[in-house]
Amino acid sequence: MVGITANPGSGNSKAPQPSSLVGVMGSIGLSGKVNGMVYTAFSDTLAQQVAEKILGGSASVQDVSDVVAELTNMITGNLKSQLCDMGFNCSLSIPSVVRGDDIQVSAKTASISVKNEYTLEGCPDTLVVQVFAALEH
Amino acid sequence: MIHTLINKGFAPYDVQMLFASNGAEGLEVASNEKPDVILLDVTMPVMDGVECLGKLKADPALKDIPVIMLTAEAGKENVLKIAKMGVRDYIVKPFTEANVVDRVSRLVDLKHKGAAAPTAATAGPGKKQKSVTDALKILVVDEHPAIMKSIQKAVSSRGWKVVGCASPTEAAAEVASSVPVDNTPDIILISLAYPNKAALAFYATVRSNPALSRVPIMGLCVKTATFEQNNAKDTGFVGSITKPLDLKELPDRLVRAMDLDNTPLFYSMDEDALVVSMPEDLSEIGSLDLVRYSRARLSGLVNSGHNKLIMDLTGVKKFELPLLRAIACILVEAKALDIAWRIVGSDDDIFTLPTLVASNQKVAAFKDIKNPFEGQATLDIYPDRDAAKKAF
Repeated sequence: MVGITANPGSGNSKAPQPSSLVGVMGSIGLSGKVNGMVYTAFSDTLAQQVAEKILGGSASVQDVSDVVAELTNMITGNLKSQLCDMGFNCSLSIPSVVRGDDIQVSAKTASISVKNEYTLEGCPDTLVVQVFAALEH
Repeated sequence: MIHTLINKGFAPYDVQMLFASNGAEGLEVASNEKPDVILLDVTMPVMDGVECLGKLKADPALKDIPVIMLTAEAGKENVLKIAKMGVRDYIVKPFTEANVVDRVSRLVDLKHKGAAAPTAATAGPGKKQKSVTDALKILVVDEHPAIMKSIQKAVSSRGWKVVGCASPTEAAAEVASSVPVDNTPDIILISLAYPNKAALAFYATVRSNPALSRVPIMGLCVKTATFEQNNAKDTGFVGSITKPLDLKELPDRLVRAMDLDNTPLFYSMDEDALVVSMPEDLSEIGSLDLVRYSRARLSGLVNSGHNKLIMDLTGVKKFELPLLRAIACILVEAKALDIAWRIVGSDDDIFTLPTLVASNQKVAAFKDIKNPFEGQATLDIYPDRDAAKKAF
């Protein structure tokens, strides 16, 4: 669908809070045996490039938001599948998208804070994925 | 975004696309337009795809429209959940436009825009729709002869023919030679372990031949080869069968991949009564498909002016959950259509059947199924079909 390979960076399994994100940010909540939030952050340029590549032509602001929402859904869906296979069943909220130059996200009760950057071939900017989670006891 | 991609994929075809932004809108469009196929996303605002699917399947006017789910969640639990609700197929995101078109083309006849009406040559006069009881041809491409033999053993009781090839090159020659003599395979299973993505290249070769464009192709691989399975799925494979092979389930998986109605294996007419002969054993997939296709069978019975059903349990040895669920669902559907039913079986079944159905109603797989024996003081069971027929 996207046709772009994303290569993960080394990642930080104890990412400090609050986490600062920039650009077009998608977010989805997890609730169930694991509770938390998944954030994806694309720079404006990266979001525009990816949207145009997927849609095969120019992309409006709304198109870009739709693409970021859908990609966040795919990333989180994949994460959910892996969590479910490990016994942590959960439900996903529908994605929402916000834009900003300095978006601070944090989750007080999250015992897990993981952040990684992905380089996408042919794009100078990176995709940032931040996950906050707490396992149900 | 999904609308745009799907619209782009179907642009070359003579189809009318209808779009809705959430499940509630989708139900309205489906009610008004009665589409041939519904592509249903899981994640949507207002009403999600799972709730929408439940409502579609509960509506007698819409329940027979085939639904293909689009989901970002490939987990076993999620897939099983939607499969049990009666979806015809599911596509895991990310997908390609070609992938969606390929799946839809298995359910409806897609024609290119501007294509001439089918000619004698293209329409294939006299070429009847395949049935599960035909001598179906299965092409197995695997370098290990033991795999071919296992598949042969699993499908032999169905009367299907297995042709084995040790390499994709040999298989490409086999399928090419099968076209002129109209002996093309009905399904192809190919190992995903060949080097240099040879299975994917074989897929492209097969699809480039118009006579083979609809032959379903499945992968064969070990359970842990998820990367290969995902690649195959993205390429357009119907799915993958993992090794070690589950020989009990295999024939039913092939039936589903070929999109065949499995009821001819179980149903027959005896004078004016429809008889469903339940098998000794039934796999999970076989049970789900039997229930799904039974709806049309039972509706057809009523439409043709008959209303008698005989459920023959004489072949059943043990009431495993998939078998029990199929029995309950068929009887519930018959009840809803005012079809009178009689059961043929042993005296033991009088006690075991209602007890087992009632005791399993708390099991997840049984949760949404009504108890067809509820309110029935005693269950009448007849020793043979003649006795059951006389009892109507």
